[in-house]
Amino acid sequence: MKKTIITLALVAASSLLVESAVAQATATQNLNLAVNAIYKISTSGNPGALTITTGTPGSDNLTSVTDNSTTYSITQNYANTVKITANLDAALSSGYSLSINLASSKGTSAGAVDISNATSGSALSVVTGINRGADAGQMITYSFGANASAGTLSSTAKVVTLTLTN
Amino acid sequence: MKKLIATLSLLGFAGVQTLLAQATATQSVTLAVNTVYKIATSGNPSPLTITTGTAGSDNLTSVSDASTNYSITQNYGNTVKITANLDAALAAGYTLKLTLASTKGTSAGSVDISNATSSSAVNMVTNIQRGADAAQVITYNFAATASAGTLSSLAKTVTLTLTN
Repeated sequence: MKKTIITLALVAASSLLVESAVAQATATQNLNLAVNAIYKISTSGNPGALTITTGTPGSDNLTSVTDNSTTYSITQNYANTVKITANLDAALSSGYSLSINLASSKGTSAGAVDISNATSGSALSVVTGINRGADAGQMITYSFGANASAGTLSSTAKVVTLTLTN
Repeated sequence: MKKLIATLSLLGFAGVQTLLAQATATQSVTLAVNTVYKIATSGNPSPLTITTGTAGSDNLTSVSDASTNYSITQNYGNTVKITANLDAALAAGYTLKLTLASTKGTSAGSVDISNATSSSAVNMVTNIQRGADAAQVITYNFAATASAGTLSSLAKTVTLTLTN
């Protein structure tokens, strides 16, 4: 009789343990996650004035000047074939040349590219094959050249547009 | 006279008899309260869509949603907890964090559930006291890196489990 009671008590206790182990309730929520295509490009500011001040006797090509005081940064998640193009708001007059060189660690830089005649309808590739991700603080180098035969040039404001595109 | 006294005596006895007349019945009532675990949410959050970033940063601008809430009732113990998991882990480069507010327990704060599945659910609220906690805010935060690429609308199921 005692054995039976003990057995029943153990069965009851184990039943309680099972109840404790499985006690739970659940609730669910459905989420929709998405990441849109994102293209971002910015520059650190404007370069210093590019002023040609000297030349070499006997050479029509005056001594060019450069500026590498600014940088650009990009972020894009679209593809691994993205590029940066550059153009001016309006072409330079004949005898003046402006080249731009964009460094890159996520793509392939085209090196120094003459953008003297590149306008919005004829922008030139300056970096290609850019991989997804970010590339921060990459150097922008401008080089401004002029011929003596082109004459002087009063301070002229030009706008360079860098476009991150696929 | 004797007759009168006898009559009055009989009346008095009958009165006493009436005052003591009573009957009782008993019932045995068995009471029980089973273990009760209940958890519910107010609905589904809005779509979490990342739309922008900062040039030069691989971390895109994360988005959050705190439009839903959860409610619980439990009478089991003072050490109950809520765990959370996804139906399947997120791909590398995408991060989903979850925060559950609580007034009856200790919230773990913002917890990364990107890789939490049914077999690896993570604690969100612990030491929940017996009783009810209604309409506690659920906050989701979704982040992504640019290098992970775009993500078309992806349905995910988050399971909150109230357990001991």
